[in-house]
Amino acid sequence: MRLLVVEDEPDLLESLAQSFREDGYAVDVAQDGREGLHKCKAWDYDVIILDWMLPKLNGIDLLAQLRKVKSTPVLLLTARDTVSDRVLGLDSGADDYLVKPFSLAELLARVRSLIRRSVGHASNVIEIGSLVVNVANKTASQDGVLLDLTAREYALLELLAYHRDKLVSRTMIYDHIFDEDDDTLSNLVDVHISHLRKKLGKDLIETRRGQGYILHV
Amino acid sequence: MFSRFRSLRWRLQAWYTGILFLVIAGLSSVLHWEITRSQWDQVDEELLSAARILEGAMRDVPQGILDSMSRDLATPPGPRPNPRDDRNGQANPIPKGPFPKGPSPDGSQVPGPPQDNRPWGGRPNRPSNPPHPSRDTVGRLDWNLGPEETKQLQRQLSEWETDIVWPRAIPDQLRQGQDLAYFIVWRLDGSIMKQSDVPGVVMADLDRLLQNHIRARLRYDRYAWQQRGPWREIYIHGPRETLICVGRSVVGEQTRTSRLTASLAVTGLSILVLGALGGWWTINRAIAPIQKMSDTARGINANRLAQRMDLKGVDSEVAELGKVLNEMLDRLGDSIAQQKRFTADASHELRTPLSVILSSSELALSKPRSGDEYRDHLEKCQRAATRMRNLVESLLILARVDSSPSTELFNKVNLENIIDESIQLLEPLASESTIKVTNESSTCFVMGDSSQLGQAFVNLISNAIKYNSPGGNVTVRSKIEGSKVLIEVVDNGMGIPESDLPHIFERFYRVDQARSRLQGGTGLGLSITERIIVAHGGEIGVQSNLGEGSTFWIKLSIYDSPATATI
Repeated sequence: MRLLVVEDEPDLLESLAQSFREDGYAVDVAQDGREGLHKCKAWDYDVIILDWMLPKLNGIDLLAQLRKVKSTPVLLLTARDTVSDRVLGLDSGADDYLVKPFSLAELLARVRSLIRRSVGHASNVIEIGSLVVNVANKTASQDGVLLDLTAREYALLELLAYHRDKLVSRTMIYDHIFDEDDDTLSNLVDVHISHLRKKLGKDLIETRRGQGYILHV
Repeated sequence: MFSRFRSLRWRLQAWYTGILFLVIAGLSSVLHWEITRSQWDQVDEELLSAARILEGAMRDVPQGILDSMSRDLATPPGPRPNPRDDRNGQANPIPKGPFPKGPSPDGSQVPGPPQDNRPWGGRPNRPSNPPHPSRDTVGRLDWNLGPEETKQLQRQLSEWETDIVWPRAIPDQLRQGQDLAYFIVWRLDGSIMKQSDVPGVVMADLDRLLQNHIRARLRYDRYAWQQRGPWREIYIHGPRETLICVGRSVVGEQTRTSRLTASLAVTGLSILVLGALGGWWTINRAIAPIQKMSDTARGINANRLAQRMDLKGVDSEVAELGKVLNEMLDRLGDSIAQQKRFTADASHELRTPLSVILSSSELALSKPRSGDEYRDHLEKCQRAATRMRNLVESLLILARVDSSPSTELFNKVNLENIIDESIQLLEPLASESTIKVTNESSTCFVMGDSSQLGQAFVNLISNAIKYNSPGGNVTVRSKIEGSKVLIEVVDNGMGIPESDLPHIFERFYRVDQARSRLQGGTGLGLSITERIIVAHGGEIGVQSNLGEGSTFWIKLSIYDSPATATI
């Protein structure tokens, strides 16, 4: 899953990015509103974490411009805590609202819930036959046995699981698994898929040549 | 429950109704008085002219005859009903005898006039005749006549009486459409010489009336009038010491008067009620906007300041009040909005470093890490904590400057020294950025708080250093302008964009947010400086050209003239 964090405080931005990356997300960052708007128009993020008070373009204006073209889930992260601020923020198109200072655990949980809702899945646990993917603690198990997956492999499996029985294109995988800093080689996805097949069994993931992959139930 | 009667509405209504009542009552009284007076004047006029006719007729009769005949006629046959005046065909009882000298009907002796003994007095200027000058002669003449002659004389006198002496015209004239009319003529001694048909009630108590009132009044006036129940009477002096009274019933007039009273009262009362209702309506209309305004005002509080008095169609006085209140609300709203913005900004500024501390520490503790990673996170926490400390200190300074505008703590201070100290304090920062700071100011004394003024200069000079390019210059210079001193802090740094200049003294306003944060700025330095200078009665301003540098200037009042203030 790929996130965009827009925050003007460098230290906070760094902490957030690191914390999301450690949780298995691909993270892009932006330090001001204009950069943030540019990035969220350019890519399909799974969730955008947005500060309200930003230089150059504030979060609410950014949100208004973004909502004209995209419905990407947005979590507004701000120090403004009055009821009218929350109302304004949510009415401007934010999907969730978190007041600074916040707990990282809560932020991560909220991001997970936003992703769940955006793919239309209510539970943290996705079951595909004997395969169980737990989104909350980022684990996957098959026949009750915990699978040993790298972060990338898990992220790829989660993406396929969220879109099970649907074609997931290579572009989509690139967009959602790798962030802007990754030097993505064209065959990196194939490598990850082959690793996953080794651990899950050959039949689970079908390859559609030239199109992408499907995780079959 | 009486409090509602203390309201403006009730008091206005009470005053209005009271005044309306007085006006209506006054007008009605005057109207009533004038109408009745003219009516009674008319009645008196009528009675008087009848009395004059009677008097004229009596003058035409020879003196002796008039005197004697009436007594003779009066005495033997008794009073005869006037043929024309007699309605019920029957004479009324008439009191006999010289009543002024006899006992009054209630038995008490009626006191006579003090200066003469004429029963009804008389005009003092009229020559006083002896009481009965012709009485003896005429009386003797009467008594010495034979029966035939007497009869003849009596007949003759009777003709005179009916046709000449007592003209028909009198009762007729008095009687036009009226009720009973009558006349009475008294002799000098108080005995009745002649009378028409007189209602008995009229005769009752007439003696005392004559004694007490009529005679007294006739002594000074040509005539006297008397109202007795439903009768109105006029008294005049007749020829040869007689007293003439003409009267008539005035029931009609009295009825008309009471009808007038009643209709005036009804009309007045109706006008009063209508006026009071109109007044109530008017007062309610006038007060309604005030009521509305107080309702509106009641609904306004700190969270709902947007509401304003609706002044459409409101009278100018109340509208003026409403306008003033609205303006006051605007000002209050502005200041509350400003306060809210400041609080929101301050909370934002405090929460951001707090978020850094919390998230960094949480992240650091989430799993075992290398020493370098811990160090990295701790550094972040320290930076954030330092920023919070700076911010808290700035907020405290701002609160102090805002809350103590008292000039009591001000001393005579030398600006040159303060600027020197400020520059020394900033020397490490300047040398770090290789910027040269020079003090070109001269000695100048002002009244002020040296620590606050020092803070102001530190803020200005540190800004000039921070927003300068390496190797740049900062110059502080002063200039005397009359009673003021102008201090300028000049740098040749990056300058300030024109669009930012109007906001530069606002709290938490930053020209370049990222850079300010990098420099550890709180966004409060310039607004603190501005508050300090304003508290010292000074002015502050800025000129700037983008890319060429900025000049912040301060104007303060000089304590002493430069000539005497040299050290």
